[in-house]
Amino acid sequence: MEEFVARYRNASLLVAVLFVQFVLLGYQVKTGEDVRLVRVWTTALISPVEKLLGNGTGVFGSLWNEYVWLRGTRAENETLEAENERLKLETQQLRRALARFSREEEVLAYQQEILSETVLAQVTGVGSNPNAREVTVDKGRRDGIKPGMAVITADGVVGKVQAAHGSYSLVLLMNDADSGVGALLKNSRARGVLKGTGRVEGRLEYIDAEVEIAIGETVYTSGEDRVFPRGLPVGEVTRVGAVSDYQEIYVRPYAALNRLDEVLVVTAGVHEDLPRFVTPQPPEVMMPMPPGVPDTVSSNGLGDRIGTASNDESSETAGDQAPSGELPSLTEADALLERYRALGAAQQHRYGEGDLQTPPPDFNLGLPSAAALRPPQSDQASRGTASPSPTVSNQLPGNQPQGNELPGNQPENAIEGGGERAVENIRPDPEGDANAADRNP
Amino acid sequence: MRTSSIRSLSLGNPPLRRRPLERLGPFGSVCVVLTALVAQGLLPRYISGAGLFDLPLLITVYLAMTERHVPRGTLIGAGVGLAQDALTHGPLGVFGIIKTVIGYLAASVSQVIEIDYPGVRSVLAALFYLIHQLLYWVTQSVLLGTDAALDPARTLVLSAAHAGVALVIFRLIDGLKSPR
Repeated sequence: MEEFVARYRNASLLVAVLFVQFVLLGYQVKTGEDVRLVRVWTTALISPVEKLLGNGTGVFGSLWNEYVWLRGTRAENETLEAENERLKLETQQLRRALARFSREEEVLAYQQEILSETVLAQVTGVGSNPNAREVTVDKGRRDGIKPGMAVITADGVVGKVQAAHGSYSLVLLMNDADSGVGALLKNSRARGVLKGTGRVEGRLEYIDAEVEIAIGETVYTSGEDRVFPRGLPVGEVTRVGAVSDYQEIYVRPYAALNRLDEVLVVTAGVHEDLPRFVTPQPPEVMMPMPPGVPDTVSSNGLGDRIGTASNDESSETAGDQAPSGELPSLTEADALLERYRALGAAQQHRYGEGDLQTPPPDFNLGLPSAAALRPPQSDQASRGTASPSPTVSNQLPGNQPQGNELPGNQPENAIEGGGERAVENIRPDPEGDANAADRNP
Repeated sequence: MRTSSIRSLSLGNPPLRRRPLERLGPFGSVCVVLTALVAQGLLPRYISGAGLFDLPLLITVYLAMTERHVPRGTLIGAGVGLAQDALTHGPLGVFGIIKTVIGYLAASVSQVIEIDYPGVRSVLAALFYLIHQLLYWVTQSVLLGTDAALDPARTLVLSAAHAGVALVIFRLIDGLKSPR
């Protein structure tokens, strides 16, 4: 055996090594387990070297590419710059095209929306007079355009057609000094004439000084100039000043008069309704009052504060007994509302119920409880003079209580420690006087 | 200085003057093997097509041939093969078995053929690549039961490519060796 192995030493070694590896392979295949030892040693040996060489290659590559091998970099740079400029130009053109397309869409949508018949026209240039505010459009008589027609955009009034030729027209913009647009204010409906000044803002004239105007208020066309249909937006108020009997009101047009592209020429105008002035509604959702402050403000406005059938009990409770330790009402209006509610509850009057003949509660009567008459701090500071006794204030001429006397309503039952203060805050109610007069013919 | 004791192929020409037999030594051999394994993992990241070459195989062939000692060649093949297995996801022993055989054959061939000529070494490298691929196919399909396919045309082309790469690598390693 030894002689055999010695004679075939190489082959024996080969067979032995192969046998070991076959056994190893078979073990792994059969059991499915891995021989981690060899893998761990090999990867521990190879991985650091790989990582080091990989990082080093990256660093070397960067140095080589960025600092050494710069052949062709200049030419590549010039090529890239040229392409960059070309792409920038192309991007701008595409953006302009997109904006134009968006504007055209907007104008076409507005054209469908308004009642007047219009013709879409493209602004092709400005008038040749540098002192005038004029533009030319690409529609003329052949398209039904005539001098005097109104020109508008989706944003608002632009101007009117000054001259119409075969295939183009001249439009006088509303900010030209010779331009005038019949206009009215949205809230007050006061009518005037919006004249151009040659600058961005126009001047709305012939508005009385008594008219209340708010900055930002919208100005619409009045239709009285018989050029622009009524109801078209013109601009908004930016400044207000008073000059003698009329106000000096400056209006910024809604339409971008220096960036016009597509306009609508009104060929057959139809007056439209003006938007109504809507009282701003209080928010539907309101946060609760801070701790310690009674919730005297509701989200439903005054009607809710006066009290309805469903709220009577809560209002009575609140009117008769103000929670101890709570702060007084914040404003005079809150205190007045509280008083009205308390009076209604005290006189068993339900606000909002009954027919038109039902008399309201007598607001001149005092309240039975001290807490309901507790005034806010601001009232005490503002009133310096003492008022007559409760009896006097409740006994105004023609204001005799008629069977509505309530216990505790007599002077001797005045509020402890607060009688004078309570007296000061009982003011004669003009409505109460009228109602008392009705009851005492 | 040790002279070669192998019989050289006689081509009717006088024997060429040969350099003294040079060896890398154990440390050098280990470094070369590690370099081959690292390069096998790194080069494909930077050079496309580098993954087609089996650098550990070429190193096995080179070391086994230059050792001219069959047992050492066998063990070199086993070691390189197992190291290569450890860096793959397959079981240990696949490349170990194959390169053990390659190492044995390369060392045996170096005993009968003059292997100092670059052309001879590159041809042998191509031949051993073919044997390697054949053994790999047998191992995968017979031992492990996988559906490994053997593409003869592709294998022939790659063997020729290995011959060319072997020329370069063997030349590089020759330059690292110092005479004893």
